[in-house]
Amino acid sequence: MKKKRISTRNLVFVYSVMILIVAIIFVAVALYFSRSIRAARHAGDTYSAASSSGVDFSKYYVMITSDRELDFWESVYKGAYEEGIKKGVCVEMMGENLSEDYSDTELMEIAIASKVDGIIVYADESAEMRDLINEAVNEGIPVVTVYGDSANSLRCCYVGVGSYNLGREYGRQIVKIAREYELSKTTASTHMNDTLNVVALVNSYSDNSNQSLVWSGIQNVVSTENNSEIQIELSQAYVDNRSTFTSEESIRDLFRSQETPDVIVCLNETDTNCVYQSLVDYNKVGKSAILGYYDSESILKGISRSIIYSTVSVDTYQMGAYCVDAIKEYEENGYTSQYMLADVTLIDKSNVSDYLSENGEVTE
Amino acid sequence: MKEKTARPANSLQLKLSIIFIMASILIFIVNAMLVFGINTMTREMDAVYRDNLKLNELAEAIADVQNNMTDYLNTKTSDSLERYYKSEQDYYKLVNELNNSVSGDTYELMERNIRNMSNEYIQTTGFAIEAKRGRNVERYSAEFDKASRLFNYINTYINSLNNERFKSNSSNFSELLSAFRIFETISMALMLGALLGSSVFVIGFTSSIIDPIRKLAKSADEVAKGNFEIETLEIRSSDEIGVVTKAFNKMVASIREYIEQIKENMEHERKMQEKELRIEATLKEAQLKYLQTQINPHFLFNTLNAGAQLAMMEEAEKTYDYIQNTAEFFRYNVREGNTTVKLADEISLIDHYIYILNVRFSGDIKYEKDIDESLTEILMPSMILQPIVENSINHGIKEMEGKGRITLRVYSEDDNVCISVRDNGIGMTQEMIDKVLSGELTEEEKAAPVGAHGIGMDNVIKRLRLFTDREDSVSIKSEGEGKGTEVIIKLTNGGSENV
Repeated sequence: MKKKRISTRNLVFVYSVMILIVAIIFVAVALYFSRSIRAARHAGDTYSAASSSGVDFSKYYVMITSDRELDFWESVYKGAYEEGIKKGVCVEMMGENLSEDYSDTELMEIAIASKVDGIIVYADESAEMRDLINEAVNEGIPVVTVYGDSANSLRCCYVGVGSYNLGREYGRQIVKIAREYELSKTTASTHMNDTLNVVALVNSYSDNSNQSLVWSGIQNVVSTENNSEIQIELSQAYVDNRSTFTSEESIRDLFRSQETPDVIVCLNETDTNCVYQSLVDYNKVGKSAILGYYDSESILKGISRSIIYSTVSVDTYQMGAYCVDAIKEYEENGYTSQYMLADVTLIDKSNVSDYLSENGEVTE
Repeated sequence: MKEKTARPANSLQLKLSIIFIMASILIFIVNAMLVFGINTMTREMDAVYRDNLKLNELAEAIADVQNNMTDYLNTKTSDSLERYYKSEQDYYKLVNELNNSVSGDTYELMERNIRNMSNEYIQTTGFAIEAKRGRNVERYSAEFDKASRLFNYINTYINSLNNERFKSNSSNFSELLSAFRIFETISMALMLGALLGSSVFVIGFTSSIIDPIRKLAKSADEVAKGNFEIETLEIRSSDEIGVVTKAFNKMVASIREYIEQIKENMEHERKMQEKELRIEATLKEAQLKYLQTQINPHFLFNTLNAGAQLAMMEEAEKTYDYIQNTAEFFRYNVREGNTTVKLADEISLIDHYIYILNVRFSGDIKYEKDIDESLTEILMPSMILQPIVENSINHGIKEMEGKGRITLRVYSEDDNVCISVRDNGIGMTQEMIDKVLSGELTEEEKAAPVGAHGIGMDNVIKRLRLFTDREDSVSIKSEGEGKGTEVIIKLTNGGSENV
């Protein structure tokens, strides 16, 4: 041993140092682990951005829609949610975390029983929905209908798109197609009909006033603004939307049974996607022009590939935000405006690239 | 180093105690930390699935409520009513533990919903029961429907929440488990490190204690073997070992010093003795030289020879014989060098001596010889018999007025040649004999009978003993006062040529 003279003091010193080192290592390890455990717990507990942002919520609103997986509704929800954070309101997409898939009426019941502070619902004109809305309002829960209204109910506000204007926009697109059709007919001199078949897809089982408003908008424009020699024949096709997969089947039936219409007007995202896909599947690209709805990624791609003629972009984010604003205003003042309309923009081949890149960035 | 014998400042006990106590504390702390860590971990693990357990309880409780309500609505027994109230109470209690505040946490919101729905549910079941009691069939079936729907919703919520919780808890659990594993590894490493460090240190420290002891033992061993020329041990510590080492060093130094002193003393004594001997020797030498210068033997011879021739010429026979004998006697006495002579020469010297004495004392001494002639060739130191005979005459028969007798006998006995000189004089006491034989006679006792020029008995005895290498070479016998003395000399036959 080369150790020279280990005195008692050295001994105590060295041992103290050892003990200190051990203690420090232990404390470091303990700190590290407690932090990592806590982090793990938080990571598991929260998947909504809100709680990590540390906002204090005073109110709890729910949004009810049966089609919550659609980009459209996700976007609406996002708008509502973020507006909610600003206003101290937690907005939840109802039924999102449930193991069972409830219909919107059932979700309404749950919301009422849960005594939420506000309900944002994609309503229709059914009596059942109306009753539920009324029940909620009677229980003291303000209800805002969004995108689909229940006009006769006690709902405090309807937030949607201007359906009549939307219809007029569709009408203008139809007239434009008619003109292009006329042009191509004269130049190509093919034996083409003088009539343009326009089919609007309407949901058969919802008494939705929006649809009729859109329809009358289309009719109005087509009858007044069509200055071409082509006759435009407007008709409605009913799409069964009672349950999850029926829309798609109905649309496929449409392609199978009838002669393919020249123009197909779709009034929601699902229909647009279905028509788009059917057109590709039945090899009828170019024979029908699709007037789509909403600016989801696939629809925009359809436009850029010239399968879809044009679509309308609803400012869904704004729509969601309006919903929260409306309830908040109602809570505070006891009243709010009956209608709030979100902005609508037309997207066709000329401006699709803006949205594509924009959306691409958003979705990625 | 302080001189402190009672108890050193850093006593061994203190040092050893500190080692053990510190090592124990170290191990204790490591262990305590491990236990603490493990406890914390276990608690965390326990907590992981607590939510799920709670939710399961909730689900069971609401199922009870629903069953009991259904049962009552079916049977209207008071028993089922009682059970309903009990289960409703239980459920109510459980429900009230649920979260009631709005937060951004989805799970808490779900809990809140469950709570509110449950309250609604309990109320509805209450209405249903009430309506049943009031026999309002329409109402109670409506309330029952509503309650059942709510029951379904609540169950769905509980299940969903349970599911979600379970999912996140599972991931928590696996995180926790892996953290636990890492913790295990780290704590093992920590323990090993502490053990290793402690061991290295204890070994180092004990060897620092043992090392001096080992050196001390080695040195002590050396000292035990008689080697005092060892290096002084280094004193490293002020503990007991230091004290012992210091004492050992001192001891060795003292022993060395004593040995040195003893050696010095011995040397001194030896020198003194040597000096004394030298002085004596030189004195003797001087005496001899003195005598030699006094008597020129050749001159004496020639003188005596001249006297003998003169007597012959005058035809004085007796005078001639006398002078001739005297010359022979002296010639023997003064011859040089040869200290070893034949027995025959010694005997003839006695003859001359007795003759001279008889002339001097007109034939008073009777001289008898009984000699085995075959033994007279044996060698012996010179001037042995003459002093003995002289002694016998002087002490024994000088005063006896012509009746004195000297008997000289030479005979062999057991391989020895014995020479016996016997007188019939005054004899000797045993005490006297012992004294003579042991050479304890005082100077006066020695000197008195023979005078300053003679050779004393002790000289004769010493020389004989030296010559024969035997203690019994000379013996004296006397039968008491007035009964004569016999001196017997024993020479080893055939062993005398080696001188």
